[in-house]
Amino acid sequence: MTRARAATLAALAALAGFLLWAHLGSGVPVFHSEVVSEPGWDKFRSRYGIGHFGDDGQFVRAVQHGYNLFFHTYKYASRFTRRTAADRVNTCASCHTAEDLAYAFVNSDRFDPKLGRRVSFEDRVRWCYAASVDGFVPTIYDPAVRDLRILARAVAHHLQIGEGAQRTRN
Amino acid sequence: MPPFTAKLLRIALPALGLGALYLLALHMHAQRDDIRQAAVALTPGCVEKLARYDLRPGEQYASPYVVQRTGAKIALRGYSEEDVRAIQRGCNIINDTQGTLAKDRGRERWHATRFIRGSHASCDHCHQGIGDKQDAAGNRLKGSLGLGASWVQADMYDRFTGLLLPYELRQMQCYINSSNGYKPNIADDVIRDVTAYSRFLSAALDLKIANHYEEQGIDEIAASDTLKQGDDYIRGEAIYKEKCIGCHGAQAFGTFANGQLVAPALAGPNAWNMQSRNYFYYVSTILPGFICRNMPLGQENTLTNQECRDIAYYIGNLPRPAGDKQGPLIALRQQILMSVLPPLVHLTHSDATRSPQAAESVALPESAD
Repeated sequence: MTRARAATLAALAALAGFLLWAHLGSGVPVFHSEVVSEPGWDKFRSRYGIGHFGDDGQFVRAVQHGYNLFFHTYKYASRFTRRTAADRVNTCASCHTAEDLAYAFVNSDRFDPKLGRRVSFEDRVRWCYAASVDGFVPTIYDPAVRDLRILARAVAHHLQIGEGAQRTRN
Repeated sequence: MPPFTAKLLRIALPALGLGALYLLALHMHAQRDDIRQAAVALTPGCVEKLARYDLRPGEQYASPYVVQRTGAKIALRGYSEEDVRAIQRGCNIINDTQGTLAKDRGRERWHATRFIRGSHASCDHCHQGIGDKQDAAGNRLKGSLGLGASWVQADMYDRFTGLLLPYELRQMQCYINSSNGYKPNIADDVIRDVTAYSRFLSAALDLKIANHYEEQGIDEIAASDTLKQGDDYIRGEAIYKEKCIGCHGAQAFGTFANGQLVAPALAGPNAWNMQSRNYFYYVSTILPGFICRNMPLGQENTLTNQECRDIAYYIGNLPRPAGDKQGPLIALRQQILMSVLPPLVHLTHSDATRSPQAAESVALPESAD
């Protein structure tokens, strides 16, 4: 075996080893498509009828990731917050409920007179990352934004609300 | 030139260039703000549509459509004056994307034609009834691509792209493929105003988030929904000549009457491209579904599933632009086909008496539009 061929084989073996490690052994979420099931997910799933969208699938996984972001923000959006497990306010759920999120979603994309511009749901989420959890602004396409919107959609579906629905407080 | 002066110029010139760009950006932002503040001149269709749903500024909004259909008056969050103008602009974009009814196309349609190749495409051609097609009794029609229903169903898994497709991204795809054009920015007003209008429609029709409604999307027709005679070009051509030619023209290049587009191109440079979902060889179920549920205008649901598939197959075989991702060779092939085939067909078809190159101008009945 020539030296060059041995080097090529070694490089391929290293690549294959990395892929196997990344997918099976790393535990890094970006390397596998399954979403980690955090405590409370099954109860949430049952309470908000997420099963309507199927037992599993892209949408359900996005909702579950949204759940993780919402209730464990410091863990799943660590790039976008300086808050840690030790802080008192360290998740979206520290300030909001899932219903809040759904009503905010159906009332979003309206003109805000204080800011003098139209504000989308995604703008609000990004603002929360930057200000409320003392962090950084994700792009509008980031799953850290998208999956919160999808979580809001799923909860809004369960509540059977539509555009402009107003919350009635008892 | 002294070295110091040269060095100064090397720094000053780029700095001036950047400053000029910054000033230009400020000017354009101010111009956009002016347009957002300006009163909106509605198209006749939008005047009727928005008056019917009683769109006006206020603390609360209650849709007359919902009151009429259910007897229930549901109080929703009202719209500010700015929100109303955004909805009005969105309605105009859907109804008249190219701004043919506008005094100033650029200002009134956010230069939407920047994102469209050709002179035909308008959202309303596919999303009929300005994205809210109803029969005389006010029933929303199955497979009519209703925009309100699309908005409440957004973010679902899209089997064509493999994405959880946001509403804004779906609009971008329309510009790229159905209009054979270019992708607007997700935050562009041309996208956001259409979203505002679609969201308003969903409020006016009392649609609930993530529910499925019949008017959403296409009522797709697969080969298995037919008697399985196979999709036939000859049959498709014959039915096209009987049912479609009056509006869309002999070679499906669309028609104009009195300088206004009457029916859009189904083939040729002004038509959707080969990566559009309307293209039969890309997705074979969508165009037949659209034809069966929405064509011919005024005679919807009169064609059989097999007839719709035959027409779609025939249209799919007519020359059209290549999609952006298909590369220069296929683009070149399609350009050649679009240049060469129409004159040949014109020569060989005895009924093709008009110029095939330009959009045909025919005398049309008033009901054709």
